[in-house]
Amino acid sequence: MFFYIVTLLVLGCINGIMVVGLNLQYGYTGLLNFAFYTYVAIGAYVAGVTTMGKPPSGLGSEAYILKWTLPWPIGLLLGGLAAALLGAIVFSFTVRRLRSDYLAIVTVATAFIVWNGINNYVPLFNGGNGIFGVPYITGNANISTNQYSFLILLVTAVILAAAVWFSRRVFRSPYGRILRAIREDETIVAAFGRSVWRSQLWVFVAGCGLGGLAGGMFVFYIEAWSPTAFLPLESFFLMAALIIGGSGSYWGALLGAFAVIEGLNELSRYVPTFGKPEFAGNIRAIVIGLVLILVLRFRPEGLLPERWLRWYSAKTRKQFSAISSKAG
Amino acid sequence: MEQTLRAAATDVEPMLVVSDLQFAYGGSRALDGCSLDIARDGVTGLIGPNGAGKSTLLEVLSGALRPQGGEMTFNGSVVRTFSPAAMSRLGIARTFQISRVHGRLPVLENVLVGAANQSGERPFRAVFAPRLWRNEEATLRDEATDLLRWVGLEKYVEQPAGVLSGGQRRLLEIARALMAHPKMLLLDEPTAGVFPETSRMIGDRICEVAARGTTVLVIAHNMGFLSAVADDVVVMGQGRVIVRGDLDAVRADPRVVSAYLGGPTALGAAHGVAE
Amino acid sequence: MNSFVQAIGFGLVTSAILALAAVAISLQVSVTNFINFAYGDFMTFGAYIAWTTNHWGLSFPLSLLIGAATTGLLGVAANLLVFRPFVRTKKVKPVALLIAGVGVSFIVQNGITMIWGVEPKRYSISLGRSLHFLGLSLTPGDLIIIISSAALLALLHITLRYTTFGKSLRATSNNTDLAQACGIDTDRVTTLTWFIAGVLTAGAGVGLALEETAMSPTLGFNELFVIFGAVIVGGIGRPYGAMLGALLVGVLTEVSGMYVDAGYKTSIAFGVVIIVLLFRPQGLFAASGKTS
Repeated sequence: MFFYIVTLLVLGCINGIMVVGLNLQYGYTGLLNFAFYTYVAIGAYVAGVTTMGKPPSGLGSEAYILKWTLPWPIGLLLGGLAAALLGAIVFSFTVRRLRSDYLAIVTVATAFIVWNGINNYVPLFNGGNGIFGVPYITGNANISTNQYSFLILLVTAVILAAAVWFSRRVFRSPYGRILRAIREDETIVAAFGRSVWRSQLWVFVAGCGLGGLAGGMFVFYIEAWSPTAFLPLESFFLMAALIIGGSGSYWGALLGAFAVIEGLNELSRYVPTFGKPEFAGNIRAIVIGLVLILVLRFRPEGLLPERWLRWYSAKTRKQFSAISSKAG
Repeated sequence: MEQTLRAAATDVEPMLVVSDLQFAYGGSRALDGCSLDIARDGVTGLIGPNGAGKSTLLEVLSGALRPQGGEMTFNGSVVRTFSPAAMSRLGIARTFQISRVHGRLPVLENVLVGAANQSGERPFRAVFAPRLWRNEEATLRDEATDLLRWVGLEKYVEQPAGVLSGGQRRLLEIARALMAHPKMLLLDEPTAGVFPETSRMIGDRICEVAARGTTVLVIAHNMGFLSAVADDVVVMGQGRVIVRGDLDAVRADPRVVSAYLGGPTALGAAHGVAE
Repeated sequence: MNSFVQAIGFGLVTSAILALAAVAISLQVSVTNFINFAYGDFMTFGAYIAWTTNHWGLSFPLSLLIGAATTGLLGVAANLLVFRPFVRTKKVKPVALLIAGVGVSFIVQNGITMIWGVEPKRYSISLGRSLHFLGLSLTPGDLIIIISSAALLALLHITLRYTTFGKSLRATSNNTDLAQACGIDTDRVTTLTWFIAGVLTAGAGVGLALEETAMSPTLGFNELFVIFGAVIVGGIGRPYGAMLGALLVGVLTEVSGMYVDAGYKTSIAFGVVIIVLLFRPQGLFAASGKTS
């Protein structure tokens, strides 16, 4: 039971990092990225191949690049950086030119190209078989699976906390303000001398980077990664989680990651499956689809919406209410 | 010696000179050889019938549209890049014909969007070095709060701009534009759909802005408002300037009457112009 | 050279199928100004309904008609239940509708899986044996697909051009408020558009299932982005552009299959889409200066 909860928490934290990253892009500045999992996958692959070294022979896993044996924190960082770099490239190629809903379609098209490339070009990341046998981050130390899960939980929780700290800093800064303004109406922002494109670039890249870190931790946890791990559907689940949780707010993002993704995943074990256990996943997707539509319709700001009124310091708030009462 | 000469020169040199501007939307010519100069300080009114090219001119001056021909000189230097960002850097700030505010953001944040070059808007500083922008941010907030008090919106600082009435939005837009410390302020119909009382306040504020040394160009339809605000009125028709002068002279001009009526008919001329 | 001509032949078949779906999407976008993300699953739905009736013993053409009509109704239902309430609230952004479409896609796709299962399904007919002529190598079924797709699109063209409905549709797509002011029942036009779009997508779905010889619950979803590619290349919301976009993407995909590994064919299609967007964000076949 304890082990079960730890597993849930690890997955929750990893999903949390992803949704917080996605929130930086969609929630903060309205960039609809329907292919977030591509960046997660890049992070996972890069973190894998830079830390796992030469493959065990005879397992059919010989073909991948690098084969470095870097310490895991460096591999993790490289994974994040690789995802961020890909994000920067995709962003500069596409985002400038399109209305946001059309852009979303293009992000998916780009993701397909990446997916196709990885799946077909075997020397890169071992094609459809993927990489496996990624070693424990503890190296050769003798450690049980449960202990390892617990260790991963600690690390992911720290990264998640850092991600939340980061996005909180962005939100409360003038930069966050400009991003919000761009999300609501970028024409005004451009008219007052800002480069909309440059402002959005950094937050998009940061979001992709967080995706990469999440992917890196994921691969250290499950010890393998392959093209079946990042089908387009995963990205849509993340997006649904963010919107249901509350886009623009990191509490909403966390709620989405833990309740929508993890919670529904677990609950779907207990729903009636009409005698066919393989329906569980389908029922979960249908429920997410329904909830998504209902939330968009009746509570478009999500369950825990962005709380901009808390933006001000207590002192400033007092100052403003003083002005209000004087004028009123 | 040379410096004093130059200083003297900039005093008389107009703030803005455009010559022979051309702009067409597909087939229809919105600006057709529009030439105009606007002196430093003071308020210039821009009037003309619908489709005369007033708003298009404003869009070009604010960099939202790139002219297809002609030249623009601002503050003594020739403008080569037509983009909103470039114009904003030169010191041109604007309001929008259909008022545009960030309805879901607090009024104060709306005004702060007007202030360009905030060091806290640089991503890395924003996140990792708040000490570098905290003071600037506090100053800007004070300034924004002062501006909001000046336009009578101090009650609303924390409320989303979406709750404001049409007239209040116009005032908010003016406050936002002034946050940019513009040399020149472009106002597109700041009193359209606004109650007379608010309209008067907007007029007063525009006069104050001009008195503090900002050049103002204002499109308006309301002659009462214009007579209270503008020293000088430019009438456009069919994409160019037809007449210029003080309001009364302009209103009596037969060319203006015919521009408004599309022909030399006198009937309803006064009504058409006075609107 | 010979194989090049053959590849063009295959490309025409792919294009014929893509064109039906692309035109459907473009038609609906032109009227409603937002993208319905669930079209891929509508295709699958049409193909499965046709399979079911076909399986019950109805003739294939009749099954196709039933599948098409049912999918048309599904489109109308999706509009009435999901999309129209959003559009009614006026202030909604196209992005929200796109995401709502993702929700619809979840529901339809997983519903299909629950009803029909994941095992591949086949129609009782096949495309027939390949015929060789003019350097092409196509089956009679391929030819029927090309001809019926062309016929359907021609019929659509005539409807848009010469009927009152067509005129109302074009007016609505040009300016909904103005059309409404002119006494056009824009709600009715929108409903009919969804129906027609559903019918066309079902046709594409059945064609696709025939070409791939078997169908699975992700039949249409897998092709969705290639179709979007054709729509974007043609200029979003321009049905005629979508036809040309489909032709370009379809032929290019098959011809490129000659030079690169077949696994990269889709990537080539997307690569073309992205390159087009870089240079002409409004699409290849749209008048310049008019986006969205």
